[in-house]
Amino acid sequence: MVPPPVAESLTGRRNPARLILAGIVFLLPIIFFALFYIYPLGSILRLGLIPEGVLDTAALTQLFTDGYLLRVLWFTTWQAMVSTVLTLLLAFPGAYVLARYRFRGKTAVRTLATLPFVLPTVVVAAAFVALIGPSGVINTWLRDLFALEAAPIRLNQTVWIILAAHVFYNYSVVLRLLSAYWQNLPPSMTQAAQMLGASPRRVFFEVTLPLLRPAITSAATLVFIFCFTSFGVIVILGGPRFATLEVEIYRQALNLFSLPLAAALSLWQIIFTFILMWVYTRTQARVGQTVKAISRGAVERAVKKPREKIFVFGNVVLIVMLIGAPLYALVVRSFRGRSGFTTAYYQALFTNRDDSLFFIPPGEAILNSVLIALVAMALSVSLGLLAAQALTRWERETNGRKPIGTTLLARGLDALLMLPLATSAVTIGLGYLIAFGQSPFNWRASLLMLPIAHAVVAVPFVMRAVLPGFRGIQPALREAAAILGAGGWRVWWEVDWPLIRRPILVGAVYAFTISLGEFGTSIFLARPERPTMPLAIYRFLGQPGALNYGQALAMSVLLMLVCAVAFLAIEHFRFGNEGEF
Amino acid sequence: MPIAFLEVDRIGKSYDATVYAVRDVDLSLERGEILCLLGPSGSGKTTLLRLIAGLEQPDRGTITFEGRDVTATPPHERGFGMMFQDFALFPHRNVGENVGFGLRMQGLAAGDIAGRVAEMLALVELDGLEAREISQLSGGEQQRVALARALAPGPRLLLLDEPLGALDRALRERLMLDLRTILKRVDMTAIYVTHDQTEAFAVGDRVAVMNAGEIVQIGTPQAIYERPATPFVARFLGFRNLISGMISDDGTVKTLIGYFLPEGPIPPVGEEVTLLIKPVMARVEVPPDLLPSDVNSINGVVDTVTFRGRFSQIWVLSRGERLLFDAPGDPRLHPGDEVRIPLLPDQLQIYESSLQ
Repeated sequence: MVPPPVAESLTGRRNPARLILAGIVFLLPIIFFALFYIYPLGSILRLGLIPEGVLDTAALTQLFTDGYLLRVLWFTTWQAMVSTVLTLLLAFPGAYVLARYRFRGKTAVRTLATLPFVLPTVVVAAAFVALIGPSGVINTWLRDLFALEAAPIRLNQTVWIILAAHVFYNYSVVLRLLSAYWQNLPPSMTQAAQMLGASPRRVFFEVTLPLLRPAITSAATLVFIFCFTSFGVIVILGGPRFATLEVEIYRQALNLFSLPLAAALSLWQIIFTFILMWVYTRTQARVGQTVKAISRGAVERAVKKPREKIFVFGNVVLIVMLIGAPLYALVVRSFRGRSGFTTAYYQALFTNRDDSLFFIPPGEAILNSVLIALVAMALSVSLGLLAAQALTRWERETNGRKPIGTTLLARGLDALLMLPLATSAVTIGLGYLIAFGQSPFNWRASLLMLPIAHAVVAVPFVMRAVLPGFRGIQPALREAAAILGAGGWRVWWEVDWPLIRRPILVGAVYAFTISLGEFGTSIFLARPERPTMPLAIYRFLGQPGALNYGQALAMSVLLMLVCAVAFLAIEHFRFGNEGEF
Repeated sequence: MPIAFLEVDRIGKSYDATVYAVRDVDLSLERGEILCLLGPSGSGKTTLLRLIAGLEQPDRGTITFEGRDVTATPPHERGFGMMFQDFALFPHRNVGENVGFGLRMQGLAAGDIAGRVAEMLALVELDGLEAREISQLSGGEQQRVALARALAPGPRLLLLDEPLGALDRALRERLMLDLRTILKRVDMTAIYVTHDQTEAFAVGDRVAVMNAGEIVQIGTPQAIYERPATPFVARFLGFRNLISGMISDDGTVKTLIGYFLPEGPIPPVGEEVTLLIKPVMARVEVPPDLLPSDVNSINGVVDTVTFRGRFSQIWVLSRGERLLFDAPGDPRLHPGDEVRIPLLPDQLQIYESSLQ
């Protein structure tokens, strides 16, 4: 059954022709997702299970029988666990400081601490190369200081630089989740324990830690998922010696051309990420039903005692150093040539040189990226809007009544559109490679493949941004507008649009940024002569020579700037006051 | 003079350089006494309680408990109990574990804890609810679990921070009496913070009224109600009729609405004063004779009459002043009636300060 569009539901008229049209419109997101998400995943399933036309689980079990693959799986799990524990330990005191103290510059620190989360992985990797790579800021500095021949710190292509980048990347996730939750814990809980005779140490272990557990498990699961599916950081910083499952899928498919094994590994990756995502959703639900929200003023206190000053100051320094140092190094290094300050790397981005390793100047990579991001944004926002409209309609139809067909439809669509969150980038890339490299949909050469894949990846974020807006449109508001004399479109323009334009903008910015920084899927789908910015950075970093290195950093800085601006825009429009945008 | 159970000596606390939360407060408490700190929000009563608890550190002054200076003692070593406005029950522990928390901190054996928990739950009439989750309790039950938890470790002093503030009015009325009964049954010394005068009077042996970080009056509920020490206390206790005046040559108080002669000593001639007229309306004379009003009587016009059952509230307009009186039963007055209200000297009280 298809629900009637706005005007009909208001007046009670039902026109069969319009009903069918509305049905088709609302089915578009489902058709799109079936074709560009379900079908590629299905192709992986088929190739992984039935490589030669008959069921063959040899490739599937290889992950647990082959010594090398077993080591890959072990490394994937191990580094994810260590990264998660390190991030939690580092972010814990910082979360406490942000949740419980009031100090000058707190908003700036909070914003800075959230920044890494929106940065593309290639930018993070490039920033770490610029900081502690062989010719990074720290090594250059040490070499100048002690007049050394070679770089004293050799972390490049070690597990340490991978862990450092993961901590940098996920510190903000933990900090944000934990401090928000901590802020809502009433201080009277710990004070009650104190009054009952518990020492500060016992208060922490008996009350604070157990109360924070939902937020800790939730944050830990999320960080584990990110590190488990880590791709860009590993290939750029780890080099050929290190491989996560994600990296191995990529190598099997594109370096060794072993698609069946890649598909089999991908199947495992799908299973792992789905399980992890399911765990995360469960923990997240528990975080949602937290103790009632309390005002900031009631829990934040001024920094007074010397001990508190050292603690707060120390954590602020840690946050600024941890987050700021790599980004600072990236910017500084991108302007430093052999003889001091230079803008040569930036200029080189936009000049065509014959000896360039590229077929085309890197400036065109920027243009490619922007075009792809714009198309991906338009696609994912339209999809998100149609889906959100249908979803809220269906939800409302069953409001207060027992679940019927539309409820299931709404829940199904909601879950379907969230699935890309639980699918790793490389899996989607591989899926497209397999599904659209053969009939009946032999579209791999199409320029639209990449924007479509990015749109699929971005739709969950768009949905999360716009759904609250749609849910906020009360039928009573529309009815009031109608009674006051507004017609069908007028109702939409006067009631719906003002409520959803901000969420739409936020969703659009999300989609644009995600597409711009996307790496794992792009490496499968981008055509060699049309690289995107992250791919160009990756290639530059893989080539020797100061100019390539400098250009990689320069392009990373540009990408970082765009993402930072987008991030600030999202923060502003999400929490900002009412007014025109 | 015997050493007081709890002695607070010139204690002060400010959150920033200009505003005092608590300003040089002195306080002493006898064993077994229940003292209520009564005041509007922001008067410093909660801060004073938290200073005594040790949850806040004073800027100056000392707190002495049973002759021992505890000013620098951390809260978990003071051996006081505390009940919070939001009850602060641990959601990750059940009723029994909440009540037994303090006992576990004391290092008691599991068997002893269980016995004491059962005893405490019996005291608050929640026998056998040990295994119940906190989220399954009603507001009133939570309040009683919080009380049981605070009492279980046998604190020598119990501090209560608006312990009924989170509950609705009807429940509050009932629980404030239960609370006093239980505290008296276990012979607990307690300090009870509230902004509700009814609650303070019902629970406290003594009441300390606070304003702007200071204790402005301390005494039994009867004494405070009988003679509010300042216009602020009078107004906070719900007295509405405060009029400014001046001591005239014959020693009466001259106001816009007539001359008054209260009981007790009179300030010097020419002094500006504030006159409190308590709302007891013993007698109303209708219509008034046309003579100018005598000393201690008010001529006016009835503005509104609100019938409250056992009594009626009557607003009387007299030369622009609105005065509120309580008359028993139904005085059969109507808006517009001209009335003369004779007052008794003990209904009147003067303060040697002009009204702000």
